[in-house]
Amino acid sequence: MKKVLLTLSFLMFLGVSVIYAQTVNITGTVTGSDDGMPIPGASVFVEGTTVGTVTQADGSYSLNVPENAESLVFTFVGMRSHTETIEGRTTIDVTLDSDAIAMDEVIVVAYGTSTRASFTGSASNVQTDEILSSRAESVDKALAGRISGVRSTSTTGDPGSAGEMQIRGIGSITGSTSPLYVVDGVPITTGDFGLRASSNVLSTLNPDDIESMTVLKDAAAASLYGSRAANGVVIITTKQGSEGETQFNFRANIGWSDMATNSFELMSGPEYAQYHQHALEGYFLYQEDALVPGGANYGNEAIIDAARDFAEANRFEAGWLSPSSANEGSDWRDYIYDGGSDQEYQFSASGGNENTTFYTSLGYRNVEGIVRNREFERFTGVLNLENQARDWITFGVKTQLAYTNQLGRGDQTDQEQGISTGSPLSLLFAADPTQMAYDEDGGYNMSGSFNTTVGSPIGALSKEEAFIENKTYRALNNLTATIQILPELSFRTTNAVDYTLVKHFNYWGPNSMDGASINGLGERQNQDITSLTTSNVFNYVNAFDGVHNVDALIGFESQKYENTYEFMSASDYSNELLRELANAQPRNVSSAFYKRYMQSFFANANYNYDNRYYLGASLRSDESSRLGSDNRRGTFYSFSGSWRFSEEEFFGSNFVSDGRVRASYGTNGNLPGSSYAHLGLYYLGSEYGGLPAIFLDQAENADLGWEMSKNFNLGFDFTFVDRFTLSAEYYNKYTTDLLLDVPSSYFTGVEESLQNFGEISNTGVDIELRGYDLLLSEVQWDASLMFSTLDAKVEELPQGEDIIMGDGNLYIYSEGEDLYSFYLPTYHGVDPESGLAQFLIDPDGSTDESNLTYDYNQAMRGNQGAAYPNITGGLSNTFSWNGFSLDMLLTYQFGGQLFDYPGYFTRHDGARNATFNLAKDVAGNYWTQPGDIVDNPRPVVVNPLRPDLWSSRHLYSTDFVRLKELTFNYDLPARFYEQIGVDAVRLSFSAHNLPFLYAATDDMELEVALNGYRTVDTPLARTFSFGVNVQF
Amino acid sequence: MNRILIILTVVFAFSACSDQLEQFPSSSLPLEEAVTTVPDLNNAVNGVYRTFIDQYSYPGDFGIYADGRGGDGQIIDAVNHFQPVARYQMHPNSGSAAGFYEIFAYAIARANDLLAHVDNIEVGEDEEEAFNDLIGQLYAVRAMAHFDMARIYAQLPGVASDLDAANSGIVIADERVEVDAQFRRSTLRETYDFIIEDFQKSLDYLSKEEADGSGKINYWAAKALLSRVFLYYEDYDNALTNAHDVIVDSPYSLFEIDEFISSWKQQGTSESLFEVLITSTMSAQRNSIGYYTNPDGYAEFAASDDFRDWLVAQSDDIRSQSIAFKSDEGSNEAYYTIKYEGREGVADPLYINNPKIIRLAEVYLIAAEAALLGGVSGEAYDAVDYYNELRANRIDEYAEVSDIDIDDILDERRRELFGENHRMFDLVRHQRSIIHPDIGEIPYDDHRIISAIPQRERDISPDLAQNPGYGGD
Repeated sequence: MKKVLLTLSFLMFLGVSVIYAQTVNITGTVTGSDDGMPIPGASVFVEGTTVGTVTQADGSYSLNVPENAESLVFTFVGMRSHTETIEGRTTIDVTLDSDAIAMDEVIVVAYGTSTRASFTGSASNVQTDEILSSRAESVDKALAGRISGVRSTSTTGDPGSAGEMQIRGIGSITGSTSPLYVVDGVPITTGDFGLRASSNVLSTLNPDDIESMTVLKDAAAASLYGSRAANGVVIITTKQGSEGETQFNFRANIGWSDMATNSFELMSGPEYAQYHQHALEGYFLYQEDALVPGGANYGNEAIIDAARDFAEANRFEAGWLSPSSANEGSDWRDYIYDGGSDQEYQFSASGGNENTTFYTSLGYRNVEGIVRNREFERFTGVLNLENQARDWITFGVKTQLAYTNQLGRGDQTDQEQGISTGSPLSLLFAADPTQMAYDEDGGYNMSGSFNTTVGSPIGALSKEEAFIENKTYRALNNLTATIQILPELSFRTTNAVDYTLVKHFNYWGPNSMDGASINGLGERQNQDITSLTTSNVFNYVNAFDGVHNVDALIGFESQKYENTYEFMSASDYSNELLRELANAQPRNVSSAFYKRYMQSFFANANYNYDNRYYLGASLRSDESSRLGSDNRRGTFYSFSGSWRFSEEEFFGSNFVSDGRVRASYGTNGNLPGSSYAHLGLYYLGSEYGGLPAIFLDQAENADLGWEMSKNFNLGFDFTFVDRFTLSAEYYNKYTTDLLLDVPSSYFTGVEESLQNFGEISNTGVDIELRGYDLLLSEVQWDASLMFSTLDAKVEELPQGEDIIMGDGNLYIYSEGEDLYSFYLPTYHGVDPESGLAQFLIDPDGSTDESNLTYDYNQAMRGNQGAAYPNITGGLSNTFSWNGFSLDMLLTYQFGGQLFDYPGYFTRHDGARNATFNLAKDVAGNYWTQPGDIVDNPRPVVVNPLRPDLWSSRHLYSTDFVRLKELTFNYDLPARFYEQIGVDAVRLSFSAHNLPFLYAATDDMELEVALNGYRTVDTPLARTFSFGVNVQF
Repeated sequence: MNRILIILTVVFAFSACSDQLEQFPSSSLPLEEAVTTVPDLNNAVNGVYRTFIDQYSYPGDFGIYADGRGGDGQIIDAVNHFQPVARYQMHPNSGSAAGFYEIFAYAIARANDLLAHVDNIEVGEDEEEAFNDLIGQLYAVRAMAHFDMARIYAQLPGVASDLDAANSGIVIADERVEVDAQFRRSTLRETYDFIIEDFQKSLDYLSKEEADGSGKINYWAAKALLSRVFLYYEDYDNALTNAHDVIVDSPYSLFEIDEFISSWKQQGTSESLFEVLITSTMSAQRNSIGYYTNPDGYAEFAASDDFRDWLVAQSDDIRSQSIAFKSDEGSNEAYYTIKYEGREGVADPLYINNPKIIRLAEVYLIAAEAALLGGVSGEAYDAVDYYNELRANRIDEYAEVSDIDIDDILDERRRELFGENHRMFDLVRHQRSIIHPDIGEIPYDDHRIISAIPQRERDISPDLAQNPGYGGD
């Protein structure tokens, strides 16, 4: 309930008390109609005047009204305002109904709260129900389609891996593009601390303990967070109890999952065997110089016949890399991606008396990923306490403890080139489709893989062979005290200890494919991260003459961050039974310590005149140890204003019940990710021949400074007939002094160096349209539509020269062009005559014969368009009737494309025969005879032409419309359980990542990161879940 | 009053302290602090050698580069690690074309950074000799890295039609540069002249002492490497003179017959002038020569059938035992070299093999070849003398021959140096084609013999020319 924020909003209403002569005292209580609980902080005022007060903690009020007053108006955020005629009474109790359209909804913003109506920046918020309905294990994956301008994806579908949330485009080229996360007023540690596998610190935060999340999008909203706010801010508020009888809540969910799309379907045994036979023909022709038009023997019928005979004769000869048969083997995908499960139990209690309120919870979740032997487990405990110690001081203590355990295999989320032999996908690609998974005795078929060191693809995935385990321990402790110095002035101190320990264990068994050569390997890596934050803020709220409302704050904050890293490894295990490093021989140790410090001052002021004209300004100064002494201070500011024109007297529309326009401009920053990026460094920790070896490791850049973004936001908010709201915003974020990893020649001794160079811009429109109770009948229909556009451009580069970077030099940055533009040769398809792939020599040139080549190396690279989608959004519909409700969320995106890195491995045209199988869609779709119009060239064993190399051939559109979430709830009627003391029972069923309703590309997961790189990792899972929720 | 006190306490307790704003890393230092003494410089020179411990250098792909491409080797297991190199697929965007470039350029850059800094080092009176030796090593490593880059990315002088053609050589990097530096290629003549000059400079500084495990370049190793450069450059007088000096004056000696096989399990043997030191903590791991050349590793380099038949037939020659039939429990059966089965007593033998960069046997063969091709040294040795002396240490009851031709030398190199990164270079130097068991015939002037210049370097340096046959926008 929104009421939990009462203590904060209380202050905002304090100043509204004026005393008149000749008055009558009226007292009473304000309660909510839904739960009958008192409403503290509700405004009570005499209609047509500014005489008023606010209710106390118990909902009571006492107001001296002029004798001639006729009626009282009661208002509270999230409630319909209510007018009651006085009729001579001195006691007036009222109940308020909740209001579907909450213009006066309280939202949590930087260092405080505001109301929707008076907030001049751009912010969106979601409540606990919407976060939970995603069933995501971490909040960064929970917001897909729920908030305009926010894109949330994950690079791998493995549970516990890092999500990727981006607010309003791509904030940086090599700097961070992730928002700042602030939990209960404290910027927290986030990020990926896995080794060889993604492990998300944010997954220690249980979404069920979150009351609301606010996403701050523009400078007016975010610049109070200064140097870390360039990519927006996500403010998370955890749950807090409210006064009254203790409420218990128990929730259980159980579910299962499988692969959401038909990804990675490969050729069957007979298809592969036939493909290989064709590839042998190609090989023979190549050897005889008869493959490529213009070759000495090209078109020689005798040689073509000989090639056929050769292929026929050798199609099962191991010496020619042939499979041993054309048998129909197992469908290996079913064994490797064998489906997952999900269990979750959450118990919470909340309540309190007039002085102390509390919320406490215990949660457990266990998710098995869709890959064999992939698991994520989490235990969480929360205790939030608030105590009004005196009438002038309130204490709050919030403690969140979490333990997560993630088990699985390495992944490629770092997007370094390559596919690790032991990764699930590589095992699938290397599985021999002519072989069965198990032999006749029921044991693993040890010839199941093309790769003899793998043996059985299934056996190779077992925990006995190898595993990666990440255990994360998290304690987030937060003490606040709020002191009321004067009625208008308060002081709030927030002090937090955020401790995270990530313990990583990587094991390769002595007989595993990776570990055999060193008789097993064990690696332990521990990283602990301590972040100490203190933030101290003075708050001033006042109103003058009833129409001038002022609030202001001034504060300082400092944050110390320490990170210790320890690594140890051992190899040569004495046996296979025990995996601790003590059972093997020491191999390597290493450790490092990193420290950062930041201190900041900030101030903010807001003024509004008569709730019609609003002005705001903020300023923040940050000093960070991450920059050199000349550049470490950064100052960030914002100005904003809005005009609520619907409050003007001349505005008499019945159709538009509320309307305003707002604008903001300001700056934000982005810091280098590394603690010491400005220093030129020699690395001291290496060895040569057992003796110390040191070498140049990082180039100096004493001038390194902040990445700075200037944000402009213009927004319109309308409420129509109290039933629809429309919010439309235009934004322009212009980033200068980009933190850019500028590639340098290897002859400089470093691969790249971090420099402030270049400018980019992100421009777009965010639209949110919501409708409430659209049918005006017993069946309630609520709907919301999110629509966002994005145009992300490179504006300026050093000397105007293009920068080509990314793994495999996949992207080009060119002035005036899109960010994440793919830089690849242009694939021209298969020549029907020769069956060979053709490329354009000049990638932007004509398709004339003279511009075509069979030789990949002759093809120049060109800009093949941007990866990111221009249009994204969601459509949510909720139908409720008699305790039933159905929620459907559609998400969509258009205008993007992906680079199919896995497809580069599975459309190899013979180059990887006997290493990898091929994609199913290649079967029957490759050239075998002149005249064939097909998508894939004729195969050649160890294809020397390499038409499979990176080109526009591997680019695919990511346009889609997806049924993202489907939730069905049923609130059981009270008669079933009220005798046993239960207050409410809800049953639910939900499904996620359902089929694409429209997909531009078949059989592929199209929800990829903004850079359009489809990784060789686990695709998204489709999940189904049953739940029961009991309140008592 | 209470509240004011509490607030003041909080404010002062947590008030900011600006000295915390200076933070430095725990495992690195700026050059000025990291290298101030001769022992520091010694560590930094170790850092230059350590650069080579990588897939794309001597202990990895470059350890058997010319063998995998030279026709005497074949791929057994299709795991695609060494395969792109062995099958001549070093196109502009390949990992291998960039990888070799990166490692050798890093070694050069690290050496340049130190050479620019050596004047700031405090040198004690008794440290002068050690200090000079370190400077000599930096010059020698820089020369060696340039030479090996020239072998990968430029034509060999014996094939090139014009040593003075623009961009026929490689980038010459002889000083510390800023991070935005751009480069262009020299001519082949400038490249080789620079390499020779650097090696000659190193001889003025280097110590003649034998290094531990032959893990560092000393005077004799530099001289031997220089003789190899002269041989490639077809300056036979200088090739012969330098090789002869090493043979006669250095403390190194040829293996005797019964030492030949066992020597490969040892570090720093009597023949080894320079090898890269591999340890269990610092190896190329699964991209190491040991892992490539054994059936229980990646099995990507075994003796080709023709070479096996030819070598094994010479049963009185100890080198016929330098390849042996091996399998991984029945799979990957083939004849593999025995040179990289691992150092004695280590737990992970396939990772730990010191690549021998140059050893005395090769110096004998350089001398023999240079003398045969007209080199004059003023010494009373003929080509056949070097040839006979080597063979006498390899063959039981060897009967000396009196006359040899270039084919004898090439055959002897093929026998002696299999798996030591020579075969393709030896064939191409003498304008002979390669017959590769996996991909057929490759003419000595085929463009694939030379790797593409990595595209990322050309993106950075627009004037850096591509090699023929690889596009070149």
